[in-house]
Amino acid sequence: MQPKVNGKEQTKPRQKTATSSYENQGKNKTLTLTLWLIGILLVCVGAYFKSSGSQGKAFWIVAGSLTLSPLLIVLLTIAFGRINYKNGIWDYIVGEEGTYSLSRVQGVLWALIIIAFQLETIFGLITKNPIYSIYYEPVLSESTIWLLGLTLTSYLAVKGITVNNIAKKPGLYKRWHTPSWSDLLTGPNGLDFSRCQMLLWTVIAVVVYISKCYNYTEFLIREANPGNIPALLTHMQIEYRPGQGADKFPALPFVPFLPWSFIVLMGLSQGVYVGKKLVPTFKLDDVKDMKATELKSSVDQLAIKRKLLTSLQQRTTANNAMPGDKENLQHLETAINDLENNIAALNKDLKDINTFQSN
Amino acid sequence: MPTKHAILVGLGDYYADFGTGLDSLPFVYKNVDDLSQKLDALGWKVYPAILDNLAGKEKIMKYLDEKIGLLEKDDWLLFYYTGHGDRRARAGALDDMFLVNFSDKLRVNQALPFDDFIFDAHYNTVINKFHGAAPDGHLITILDCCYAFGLIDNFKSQKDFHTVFAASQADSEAFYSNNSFFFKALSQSWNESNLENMQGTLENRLALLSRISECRIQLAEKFSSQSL
Repeated sequence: MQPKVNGKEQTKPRQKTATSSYENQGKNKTLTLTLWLIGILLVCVGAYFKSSGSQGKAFWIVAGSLTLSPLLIVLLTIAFGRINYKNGIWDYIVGEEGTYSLSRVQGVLWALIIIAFQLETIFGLITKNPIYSIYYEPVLSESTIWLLGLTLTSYLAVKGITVNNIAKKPGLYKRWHTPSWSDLLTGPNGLDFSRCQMLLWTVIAVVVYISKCYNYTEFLIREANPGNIPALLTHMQIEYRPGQGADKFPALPFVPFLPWSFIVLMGLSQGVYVGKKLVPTFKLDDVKDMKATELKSSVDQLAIKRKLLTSLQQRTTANNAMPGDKENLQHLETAINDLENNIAALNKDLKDINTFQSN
Repeated sequence: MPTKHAILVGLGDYYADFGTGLDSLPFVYKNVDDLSQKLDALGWKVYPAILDNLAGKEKIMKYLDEKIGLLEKDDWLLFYYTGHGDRRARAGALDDMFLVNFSDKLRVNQALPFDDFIFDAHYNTVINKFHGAAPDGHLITILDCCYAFGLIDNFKSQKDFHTVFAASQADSEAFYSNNSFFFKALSQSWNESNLENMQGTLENRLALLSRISECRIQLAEKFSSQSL
């Protein structure tokens, strides 16, 4: 029985979305994003060539790299012909439940920003002098790797928990749900503060990290002494290593990093987020109510199916049943037996819960 | 006197029991029972309903073939389907409608097994077979699902012998609360003296439920003055 709202029966369609437009939707979303990214990239390239001075060039290199990084992912996906999913390229951030997944968004976001930083370094070197591109090697600070590791671990843990939950309760998968950005803030019980605070920390970390990338790229372009470039590419910030001696290049900026305290904070946030998914959101009384409701519905269904079987049997005998007809009847009998077993199991569960509560 | 045959197909608990990701439709059993009792009382030969995980494409098509093989030239056949329906896009043409009948490959998080579903093209072969077996007969199709009328292709060529009661247009969904709105209205209309009156009553009932725009009824011209 569906709930009644304001005296009027609440209704729902049998299916919310037709599969008809899935493929087109996915392609359209991906192509729209591709065109946007190409447009923004062209603007960045044009502005880069028009700008003068290290600050202007560094700004447009950072902006262009942050655009090129997702564009490369999109083009690679198109090249492999994998854009026919319902959500197209956005499928990368759709979780197992069919909604946008915060852990996936974080994983994809950090991967894109770190790839963008590599591009910034390459373009920075080329801007300075194309010959300097030979100095390039992947530039990654320890804290960045930890951060990426944390988000990926969180993503894996969330995936494991969600798949396990869906296996137990398939209704959790929202096949007909159209993912929206609000999914990032909501859990099964509405607004979820653990998600909200983690999203906020992520935004802060992203802004801080990109600003450091900008400073680093700007210095790379501005640096007058080419001999400092190899040192710049390996100039790591050392926060918790006493006894390492003084910094040999105090004038050089560090490879972009995030403070370790921030990494710990992110780790704790991820821990709470993952842990919350493991903590049951129900109490024993809720389980009891759920089982009692299921029992009532099963008993009702049993009565209806028994009545159906009886009336079908009466007619079938009169009609000289053929093998196909007998199969239909046997199937209904089996369904009734299954329902009876289910009712017996539900009764036993309720009895166990009552015994437990009375002790 | 023609013999009237009825084949009923219902899918309800299957959708939840097999982890399809679709809502269970608990009312289908009562509807199947109510309709079969009504038809039985009216003298129809009602075959045992095909339910849930027995209602796969192969079984339904084979069953329809088997029963069409029994028809005399002026017999009637009623096909009733209650369950989910959906449609698949076709570039540059109308969408293909299909019944979401049983498939062991229909699972959450997996691609839809289109090969396992009964599409409008499949049902068109059933219509042709019926007309071949019973050229003076009457086919009644009652579809209680989303995009229901999409299952019927090229109705104009069938208007002499085919009556369709569809819970929804080819491009609209069918709604329900504790029961399907369409079936509620249908059950209030089937005592009418002829199909034309039945159509009128059914549409009036649906209008009272504010659901008239969703359904689609087409009566076979030759049989509109006859009763069920």
